[in-house]
Amino acid sequence: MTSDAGVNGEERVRFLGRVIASVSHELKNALATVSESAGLISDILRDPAPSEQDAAEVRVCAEAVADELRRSFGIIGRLNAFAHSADHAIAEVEVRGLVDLTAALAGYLSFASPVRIMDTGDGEVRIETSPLQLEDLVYRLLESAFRLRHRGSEVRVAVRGVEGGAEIRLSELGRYRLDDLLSEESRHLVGVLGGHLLLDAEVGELGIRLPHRIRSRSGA
Amino acid sequence: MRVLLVDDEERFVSVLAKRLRLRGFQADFVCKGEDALRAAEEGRYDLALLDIKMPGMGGLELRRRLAGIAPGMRFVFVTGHGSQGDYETGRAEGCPYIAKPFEIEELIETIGGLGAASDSGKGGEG
Repeated sequence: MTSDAGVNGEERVRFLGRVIASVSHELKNALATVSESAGLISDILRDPAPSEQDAAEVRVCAEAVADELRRSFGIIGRLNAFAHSADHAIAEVEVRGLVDLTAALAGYLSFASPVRIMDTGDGEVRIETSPLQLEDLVYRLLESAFRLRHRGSEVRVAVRGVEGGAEIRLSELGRYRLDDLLSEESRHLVGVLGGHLLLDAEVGELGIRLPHRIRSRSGA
Repeated sequence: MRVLLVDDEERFVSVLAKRLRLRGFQADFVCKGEDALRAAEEGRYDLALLDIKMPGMGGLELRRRLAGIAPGMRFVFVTGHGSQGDYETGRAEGCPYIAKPFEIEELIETIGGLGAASDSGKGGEG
């Protein structure tokens, strides 16, 4: 299927690059801990008669290696899922799952603050859209949230089905001017996705309303 | 030699501190820039190993603030990114830079390259 979205290839590659950079950073951190833990085990076992305390230290290191490998597999699993979002230019997506994955990927950014996905109990929300570009938009919004919100604050992301499509709402972001939240490119992405923004300054929420089916450039 | 390790990856930095202690260094660790500033005010450190990218205060800002507290302190940057940008940043700051994951011998060699290891009581193998 050919791309029918209006965001150029360079922008898409830039997004992929940003995600891969932060994911590889996270992976390096996990592997660095594995490496140091293995190194400490090796250091301890150089002693021909390790003490009980040494044996306990080795057990702690072994647990750390197992934990960090689990963490690494989780990271790789998310990266794999993300890679497959580029399989089709337009596809049916489950929005909550997509937002959840994007929030996890954005959480690897070095300046990330905690982001909690609010459980709306709404079940699955499915729309037909451009998965990669929707991930790009959500990622950009979370980047803005991390930059604008003070460290340790929480941004809740809620997904719900609405008449004609889906809505993603991000708490706290409604307190800012759109110019501070979204670059021109990001706003263009909203348009490409056939969506529109809802700024609710009273409750401090930013909403993105997305159509049930993205309109292709050809109008199909 | 007294070394302060600063990295938000607690498990990594705690194990690295233990390994340096086994090699004769007096190594302490903290996971936040603010805690590093407190530690530097309370104790004298010859060298700080700083993660460049940390939530809140990153390694670059921390280096400047630590240098204000302890003018003689030397620095090594550590990063998981390993990008050309990080490398150039480290060089621009006039500090060595080491990318994760690394061998401890590489770190010790880097510290030795600062000319700080020999005059500060770094002992033998632990």
